[in-house]
Amino acid sequence: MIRPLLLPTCLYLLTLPATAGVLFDWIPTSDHVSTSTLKAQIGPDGTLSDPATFDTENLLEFTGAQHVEFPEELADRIPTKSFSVEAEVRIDRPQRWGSIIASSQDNGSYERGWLLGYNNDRFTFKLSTGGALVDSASPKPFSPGQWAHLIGVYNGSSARLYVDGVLVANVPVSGAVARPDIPTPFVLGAYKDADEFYPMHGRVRRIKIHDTALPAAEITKLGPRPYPFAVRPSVRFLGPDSAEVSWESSTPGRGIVVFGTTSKLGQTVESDSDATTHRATITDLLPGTVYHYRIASRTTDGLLSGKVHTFDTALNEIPVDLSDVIPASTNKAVSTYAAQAVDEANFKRGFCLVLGLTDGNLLRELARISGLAIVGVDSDPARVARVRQSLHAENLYGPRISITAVADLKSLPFTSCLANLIVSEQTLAGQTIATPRTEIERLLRPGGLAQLAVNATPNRRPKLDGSGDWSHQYADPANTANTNDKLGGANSTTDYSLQWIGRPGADFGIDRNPRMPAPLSVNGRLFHQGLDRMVALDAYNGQTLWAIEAPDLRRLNIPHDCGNWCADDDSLFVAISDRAWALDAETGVRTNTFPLTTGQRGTHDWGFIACTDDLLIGSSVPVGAQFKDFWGKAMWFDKAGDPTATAVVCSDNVFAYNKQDANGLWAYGRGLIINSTITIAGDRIWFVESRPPEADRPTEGRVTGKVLWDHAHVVCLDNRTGSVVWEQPLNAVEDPGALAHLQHEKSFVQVAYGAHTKTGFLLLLSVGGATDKEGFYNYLLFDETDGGLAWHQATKWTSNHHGSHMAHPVVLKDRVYVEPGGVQLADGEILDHTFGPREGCATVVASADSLFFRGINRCLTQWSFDSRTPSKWSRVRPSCWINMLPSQGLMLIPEGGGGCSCGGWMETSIGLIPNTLLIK
Amino acid sequence: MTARILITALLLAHVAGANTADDTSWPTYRHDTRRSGATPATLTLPLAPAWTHDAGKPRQAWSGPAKWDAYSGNDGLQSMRNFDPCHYTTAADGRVYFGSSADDAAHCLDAATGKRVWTHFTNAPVRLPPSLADGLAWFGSDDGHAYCVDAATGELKWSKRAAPSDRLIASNGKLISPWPVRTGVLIDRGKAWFTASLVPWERSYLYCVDAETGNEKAEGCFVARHHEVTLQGAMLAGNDSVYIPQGRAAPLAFSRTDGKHTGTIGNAGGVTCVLLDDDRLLAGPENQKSGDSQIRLTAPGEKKPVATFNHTSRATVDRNLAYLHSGQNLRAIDIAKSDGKDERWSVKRAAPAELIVAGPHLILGYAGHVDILSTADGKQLATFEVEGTAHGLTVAAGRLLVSTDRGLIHAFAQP
Repeated sequence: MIRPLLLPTCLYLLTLPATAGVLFDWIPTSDHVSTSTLKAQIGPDGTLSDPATFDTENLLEFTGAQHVEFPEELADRIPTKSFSVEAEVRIDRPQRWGSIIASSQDNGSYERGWLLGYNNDRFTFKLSTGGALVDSASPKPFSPGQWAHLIGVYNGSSARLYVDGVLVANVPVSGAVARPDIPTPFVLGAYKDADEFYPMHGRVRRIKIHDTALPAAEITKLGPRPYPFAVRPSVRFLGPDSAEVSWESSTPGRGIVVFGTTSKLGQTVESDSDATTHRATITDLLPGTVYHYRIASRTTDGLLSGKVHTFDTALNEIPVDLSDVIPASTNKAVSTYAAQAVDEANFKRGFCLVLGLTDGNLLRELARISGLAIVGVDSDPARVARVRQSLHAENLYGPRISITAVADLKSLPFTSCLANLIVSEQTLAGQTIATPRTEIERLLRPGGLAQLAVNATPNRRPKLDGSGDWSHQYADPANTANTNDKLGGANSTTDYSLQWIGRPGADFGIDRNPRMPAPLSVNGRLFHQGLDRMVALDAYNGQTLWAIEAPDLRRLNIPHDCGNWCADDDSLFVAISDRAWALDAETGVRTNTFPLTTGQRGTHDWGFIACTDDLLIGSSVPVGAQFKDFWGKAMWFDKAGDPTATAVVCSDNVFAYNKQDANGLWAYGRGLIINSTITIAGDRIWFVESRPPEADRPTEGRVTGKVLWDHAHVVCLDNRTGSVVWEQPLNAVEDPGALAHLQHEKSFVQVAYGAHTKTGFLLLLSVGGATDKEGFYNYLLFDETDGGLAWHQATKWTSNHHGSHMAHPVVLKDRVYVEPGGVQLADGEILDHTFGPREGCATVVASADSLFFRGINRCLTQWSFDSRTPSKWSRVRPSCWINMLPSQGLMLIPEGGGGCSCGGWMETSIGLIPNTLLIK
Repeated sequence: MTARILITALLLAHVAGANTADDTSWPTYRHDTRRSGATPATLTLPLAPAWTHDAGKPRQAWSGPAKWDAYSGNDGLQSMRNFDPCHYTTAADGRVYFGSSADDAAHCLDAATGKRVWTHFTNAPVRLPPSLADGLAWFGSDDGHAYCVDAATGELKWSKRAAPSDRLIASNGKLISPWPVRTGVLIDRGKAWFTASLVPWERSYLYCVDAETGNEKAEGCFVARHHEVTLQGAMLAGNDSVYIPQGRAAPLAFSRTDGKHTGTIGNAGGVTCVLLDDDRLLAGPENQKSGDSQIRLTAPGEKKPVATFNHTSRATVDRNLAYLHSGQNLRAIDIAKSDGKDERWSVKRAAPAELIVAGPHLILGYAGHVDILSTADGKQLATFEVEGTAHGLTVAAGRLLVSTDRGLIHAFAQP
């Protein structure tokens, strides 16, 4: 039930009582801006730098160079030993030097004044009492585009920062704030001093400066208390104009979804429960519209509220549900046959071919009881016309039901491996159809079902011979980046034909999906992530199975972290916030959650994730360690040696759950476990764990520098018990030459990967800095049984930019490929050949017979082991990590390159089928 | 340069006209084969809603554009392939025609009542409206075929499989040919032009057939094969070439004689293309390197654009005047006499989704409404509410037809 909004739309009202103590008060909206002047509520007016533009909420747009300057002398009215700066603000783009309001100088050693702002994605309150600016910074990142209520408080002895009423930083500092003694602008919406200018991108609802240090008790009364989420909210589309919001709370109580087409929200819908598990359905959604929503709840203690999130109906590809539109068939034979076929096939969506028509009633019934796209097929023009006209007259023809007119039913024009279900209306009428059994089998997708008569033995097509899954970030838990899919013997891009093409397109993702988690493909399904959203497609026909918008899903910089999802035949496991969600792979319905231990909730997020036959293996990372930002070149994390680009995400422990019942089994953790090295094969887990002395141990989970490698151990666990099988201090390997690059005083590790090979655990360290302008891939192979170093090898980077110094290894039975060549697994000898040309940021993946990468003309390229030659798909741009999967017997390329303005890329998802599978 | 401008001015007469059945018809996408969006037909104000036809929500071939280029810091990127956001209409002889990506058919309605006259189904979406001439209607389908039907009855006259095979693949819940006909069918000088094209690594086909029979072997007809192209969006007929947009790549010019590739309009892109009488092409956006939309005026053979208009994605040209939205203003610019800086008038307005000229009226489509302005000074004369965003505008026989992204066709007529 949708109700008019009863809650205040602005839940973070700046509600400190009265105006006593308020020195300045500005509301930068169209009501308070006149030409180039920001009219003050209290205090003097400000001057806009640029012509004002306002958004749909009438908020002044801080875009481009827009900022507001106040008279410099105004800043002198602010007490130097006791003041508070309060802002309700939305930062749309994190940046290195970010300021919301400031009167500050930061010129080398000359640091003066104060600032309420942000450094990258952390809010900060800075002030100087004569020395360097003291930084009171939030340890947790903010979410770009999200509103936050900030108060910076200085009381003469400490600088405190409150975010949404919560004290997040408290840094001791004493004395009077040292005002700059050179001309210093007093600026809202930019960092501006004598020699620097960095405009803010975002919005400000209101800003106040108080002449007192606000007491904590008063601050915590501001705004609502945060909603007590146990499971973070997500939105699953149910149909073209409806969606279900679901979440769980840690305390019982009726929840409310407050939503609207702007962040003013405007409507509410209640959850279906007074308990802790909540679902609320929003109906009558407009197409192509971004909706804003938040979860809230009224309690006797007041309002509890979550952050405002968004979902975009332009990304909703769920077909219309006709169950309430089409009357149930009164023909029992039709209803029985349809029900039997749909139940037996067990596909919620996909394509159903109905071979041979009579009156179209079977099409209606199939469309009514399933989510399949129903395609009638007939060779009789008159019958085709009649059934089309009758369906059209009922407004049923088109989106869900269509008819393909064919020349004859013996040899059908459809691509192979297409249909989830094949039935016949003519066989239901007692007729026979001319379509041979072999043709029907050709048309079925692997796993698809043909049921050509009531009670006839159904025929289900088996998996394609030689097809492989891509179930984890790098294909499998062993991180081989290799599906071993035979791809029907296709050795060149000319050996494939289009199987399907379409959505998702470029609007689904983050610009070229920079260093994002790889898509997955298991059991005929394809899973893909975009901008805070995920979708499941039928791998063989591209039909959308389900689509979920999940605001806490995002994870970037995977080369320095690890993927956030994995899949098996029936479930998709996704790490979101402090738990893993198990989703039904066919429907997207959440079937279970795996929480971090109680002690880690609120302090940690779920990091690594992998599944085996019976285990779900995870890790925990400190909150804020994972990378979320994507705006700007630095967010490609590829600048050689740059501290930002070499920081890796580390886990505090790894653990295992029983996959079926979510019971915890064990946990392990002694140091900093480098996520990108965690590798699983059989009943073993390998990783690199750094164990610096407690005093030197970083605690934020995002670690850079030599401290990590000076104390690194290679560890092997038994994944059934979590017990240590062996461990090997890295610096203690017997062959000192193995670590020559790493131990050089100027060296840095650009990336580090683990992978399991037939001959042991491979640690690949990409090390730069040991020699000028050169870097090396260092291969270290550890014996599986005792951790002894079996061999080591080093190869040069081909360059120190894009992906050339960040390549993930590709593991085959007898060799490992790393650009531009590779090594033999038996002895580490360098291969007698190279591959390429490889270009751009994407890394390399493999099938049984080929490598795939961004290559010729920066297009997706296949390089055949047999011919050792490349071939390309023109204007197909891979993402900036992995979006090309040789899997399910197909080449699957869910869109990932969109956003790049460097060429006329196709910007569409594509499935390619080996031509050998098209032969009739 | 002065001489060239003078010649250009002399050459520019009226970009409309080709294959126009009469002055009050709208026989093809954007009125004529140069896609001017301008007709001499007039409307008599005031107008009132006459009928509305719900044709079902369009199912566009491509999704929207990327939200931004975060690496380069560009946002507000525009779609370069939005050639089918609504059911565009054509009209003649008291009938209205449209192709449907919702129900895979070409449709004919009675212009006075909006009632269905006929429906001709194909096996896949029809993305551009039928072209009309001599009592016939031509259209293309994603099923890889071009069709010609009797405009009065919908009876099939001929169909031609343009795709090299009959194979159908999946695409957004539909079955289509890997070689869909997404350029519509251009009718010019007795020939029907269409293409079969989708992905650049497969060969594409450019057909020029006898319009009446569909015969590709008739005199002056041919089938040309091309590699590395993605032909989509309405074709344009120039003096010596036909021009075909490619969406995210530059439009291409092909010889009228044999269909050979004769040029790449390197300063253009997108599917918004208007061809002037001297074969200068007004087209855009060229690319997504900047966040703003951009339309460029490009002369044949020139490496640099003659003029660039920022913040705009649609344009209409009536004789020597181009109307387009740039910055925060709607502008009328004489593009015959200068490099696009000869502004006749400018009025502050929001950017429209579509704009056309009908005699003395400039008609603009917006989200939720359509506005009629005077071409003389840009003053607003009338406004009408519509449901959805008005991407398609047609004026014929005194009626204004508005196609929206909700799949509705609104007709307005003199009360």
